[in-house]
Amino acid sequence: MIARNYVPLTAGALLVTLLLSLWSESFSLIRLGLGLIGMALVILLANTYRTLLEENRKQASDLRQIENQHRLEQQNKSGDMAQFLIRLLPVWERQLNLVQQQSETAIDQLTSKFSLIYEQLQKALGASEVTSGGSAQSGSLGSVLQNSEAALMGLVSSLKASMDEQHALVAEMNNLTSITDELKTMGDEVAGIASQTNLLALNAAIEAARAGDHGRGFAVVADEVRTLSTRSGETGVRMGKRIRQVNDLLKAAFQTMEEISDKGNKSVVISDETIHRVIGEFRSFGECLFQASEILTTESNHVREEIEQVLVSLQFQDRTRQILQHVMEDIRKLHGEIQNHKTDLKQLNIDRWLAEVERTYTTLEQVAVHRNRDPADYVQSDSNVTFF
Amino acid sequence: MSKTVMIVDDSASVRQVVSLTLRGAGYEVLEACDGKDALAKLNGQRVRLFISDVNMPNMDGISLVRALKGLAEYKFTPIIMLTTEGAEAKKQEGQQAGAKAWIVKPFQPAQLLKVVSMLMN
Repeated sequence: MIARNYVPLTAGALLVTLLLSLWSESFSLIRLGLGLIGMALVILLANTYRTLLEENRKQASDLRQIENQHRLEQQNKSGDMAQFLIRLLPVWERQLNLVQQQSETAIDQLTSKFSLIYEQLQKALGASEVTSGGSAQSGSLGSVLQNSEAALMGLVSSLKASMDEQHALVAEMNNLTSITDELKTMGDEVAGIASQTNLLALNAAIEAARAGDHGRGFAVVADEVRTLSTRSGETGVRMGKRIRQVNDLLKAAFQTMEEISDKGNKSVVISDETIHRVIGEFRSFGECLFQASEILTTESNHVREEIEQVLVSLQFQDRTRQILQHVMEDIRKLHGEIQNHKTDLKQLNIDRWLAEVERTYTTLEQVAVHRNRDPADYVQSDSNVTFF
Repeated sequence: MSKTVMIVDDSASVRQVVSLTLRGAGYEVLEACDGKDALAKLNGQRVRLFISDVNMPNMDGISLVRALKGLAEYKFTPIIMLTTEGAEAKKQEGQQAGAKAWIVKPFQPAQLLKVVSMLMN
């Protein structure tokens, strides 16, 4: 702009001088003209320089103004940012606290429920093992079956022994029957003897009558003998009658005993077969139950192991709780620092801050994340147990 | 008579899992939520082993170990540190205080039982 103003003037001066020099034949005029041109140029340059200088000063002043303005704006922004953070950070802290409390409550409840399930499963498995265990375990199904079978077979043996005694009784009664038969025979013999004695007495009476007076005594004896034989005959008849009655009763009793004995035998056989069959069915059922119990035990053990791993996994809450607590503590600390320094956030030394934060960490994963590394690099590859 | 173990941890769920594991193996378990609570609950009881977290409010685990080593009845009772801390410096601090073992969480129940059994016997 400066050059544009002065270029026409200079060009005009040069042109005038040239025209004058061409019009004039004097050489000195040319030199005068050149001199004038030189002076004009010098004046032009000086003015230009002065103008440039003024422009620069003005620009510098403008720049300083802008810089001050910018600094003021920055300070205002920083102050606004500090106020903004002073209000925002406690909200973040409260939200994080809420997250921590809610997750801790939920995880504690989950842990309680899974622990209860685990304990109940343990008890159920224990009871199942006891009841479905082999015969070696007292109270188990196997031992109950074994004991039951032994008791029932003992009962059958008792029944058999009882039947044997009955058979012996029947045999004894059979003997009695044969004895009564003998008695009957003897009764018949007595009756026969009494009859013959009576005949003999009759003959004796006849002979006594033949003997006349000499046979009177003999006749009396014969009469007595006849009386005795008659009485014996009657007694014999009564004995025979009684013996027949007893024999009939004995035969009837014997028959009844035989019938009872037969029935008893059949009952014992049926009982024996039934007991064996029932015990066999129970044993089969018991075996099925035992197999089902074994499957249930195996599956329950799997479930128990899974629940154990769930409880192990739920331990994550302890780690996340500590991480959240560290973040909340840092937010509180930042909030305090901003309140102390008010608008000038530049006073906060970020490197020192980060170093202090790193020192508070309790897990290796926190250190890894802080350094923007893979947490897996910081996990101990060996056992997590150390003995001192 | 079953042996008594005390678990000291500010996390209720960790105390629950440890108690469940130990009771399942036949141990009796006492619980405390921090070092101060643990000392208050001891009352001269016969505790055969302590399991303690490190980072707890009121009294941390390392301080508890030092306090227990100062009591005549618990001076030789083994102490296991059960914690999320895995740094060697912290482990050394525990060892110097008198702990016998250091387990980094999460722990497997079978693993814990093995360590407890080894230190008890």
